[in-house]
Amino acid sequence: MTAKEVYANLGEDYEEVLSRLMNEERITKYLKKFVVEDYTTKMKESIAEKNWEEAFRIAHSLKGMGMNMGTAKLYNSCETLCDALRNGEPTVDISDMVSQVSAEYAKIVEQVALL
Amino acid sequence: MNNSILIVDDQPLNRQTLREILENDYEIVEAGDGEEALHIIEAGKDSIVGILLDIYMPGMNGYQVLAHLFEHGISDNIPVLIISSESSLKVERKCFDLGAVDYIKKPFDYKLVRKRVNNFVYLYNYKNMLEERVESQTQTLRRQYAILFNQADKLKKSSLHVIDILSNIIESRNLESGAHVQRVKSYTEIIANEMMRLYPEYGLNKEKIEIITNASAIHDIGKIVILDDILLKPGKLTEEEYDTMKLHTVLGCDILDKIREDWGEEYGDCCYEICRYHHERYDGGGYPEGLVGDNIPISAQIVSVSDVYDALTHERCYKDTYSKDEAFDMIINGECGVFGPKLMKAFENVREELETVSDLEI
Repeated sequence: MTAKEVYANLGEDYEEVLSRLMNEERITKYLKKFVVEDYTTKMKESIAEKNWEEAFRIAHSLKGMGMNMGTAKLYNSCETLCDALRNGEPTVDISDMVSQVSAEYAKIVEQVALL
Repeated sequence: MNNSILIVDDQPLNRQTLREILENDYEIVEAGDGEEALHIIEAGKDSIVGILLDIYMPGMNGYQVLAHLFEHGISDNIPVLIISSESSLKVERKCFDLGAVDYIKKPFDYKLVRKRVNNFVYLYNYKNMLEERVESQTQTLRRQYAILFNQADKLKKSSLHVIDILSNIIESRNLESGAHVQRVKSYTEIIANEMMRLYPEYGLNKEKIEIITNASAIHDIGKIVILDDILLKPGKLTEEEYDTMKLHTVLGCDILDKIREDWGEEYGDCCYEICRYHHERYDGGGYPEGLVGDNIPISAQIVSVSDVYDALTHERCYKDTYSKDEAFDMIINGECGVFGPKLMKAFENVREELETVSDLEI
């Protein structure tokens, strides 16, 4: 499978990513690196330990990388979670947000495995 | 070569992305957190031409790094560009307040990131180069000033040496006693200081007064070419002899002209003025040029009254002395020379000081 197909399957805009990162080979390389570390597991661990600062940092990193990789669904869900975690202990229930982030990331991991 | 970019980000993927954007143009150095970044900067700040900095990192975060660089003046010379996915204006503003030069938001665009980094590196290289140039020029100027100062000091010493030699010639021909020369110098200094205090319009200052005082020693240098039978004649001179005698002012200047090259301009000019004009009168009745009022250089005016006062109060071959009171009245009343009202005011003010000097056994 090609990177272009990965984006098509994820319902994301490949052309936009290509215009910024310049070539497909590079996009493929970055996508593979993006899924090496299991970010969402670490994030959930931090939330379980009520380490809000660390949880925010991971969500924020994931948002940034999601933006770079042009995976809009992931970074939008990360942004919602970041806003909830920004000032320490969240005042709203974040479990749906966490699930959303995990689900979006899992989809990417699944697709990248096919590259 | 001074061409390193430091990339500070805790996510390896972000570092790799930035590295690949910039590695054709720069040496790339990476740090995974704030502390590591500061160590690298500390060790290699001369080779780093730009820093790309993430905000949220474990341990020391981007704000703390920025604050440190700002406090230590490092961000004055190395541009720090923030890279972040944070879209909050508050965060962006804070980064600029802490000394960041740019705020690059994710997602990264190869061409734009490269362009922005290149722009700031170019600007800062240029700014640093200008600052270095100004600094080196300032040092050059300082060195040249020190040399000039040194030369001025040497010139002053050699000028004083010339005056000493000329004074010795005057003394050895018995034209004037060493004591007279010393007293005239003292009177000149006292009156000049009072003139400086009362009348700033004459532009006198400590340096000028020192020069005038030293130069006063050779006001009669021209007498060395006047024959002894006129110079040392007891009693009154004939009109012809008196005319010859008057020539000592311009003849003195001829002597000074010949050595003008050899001493400082200020000394040369001052000696010349005093030598030429110390027999001018404020009403224009003096010689050699009949200058009127303050057309007579103030140096010559001051030496003139000093010379007259000493002539009146101390014995010379051609006349008796007057008491200090008589001498003072004669000068104030214009019976011996004509002086300007300002000079007379200063002369009156320092009467006691002059009398103290006059009484000294030199």
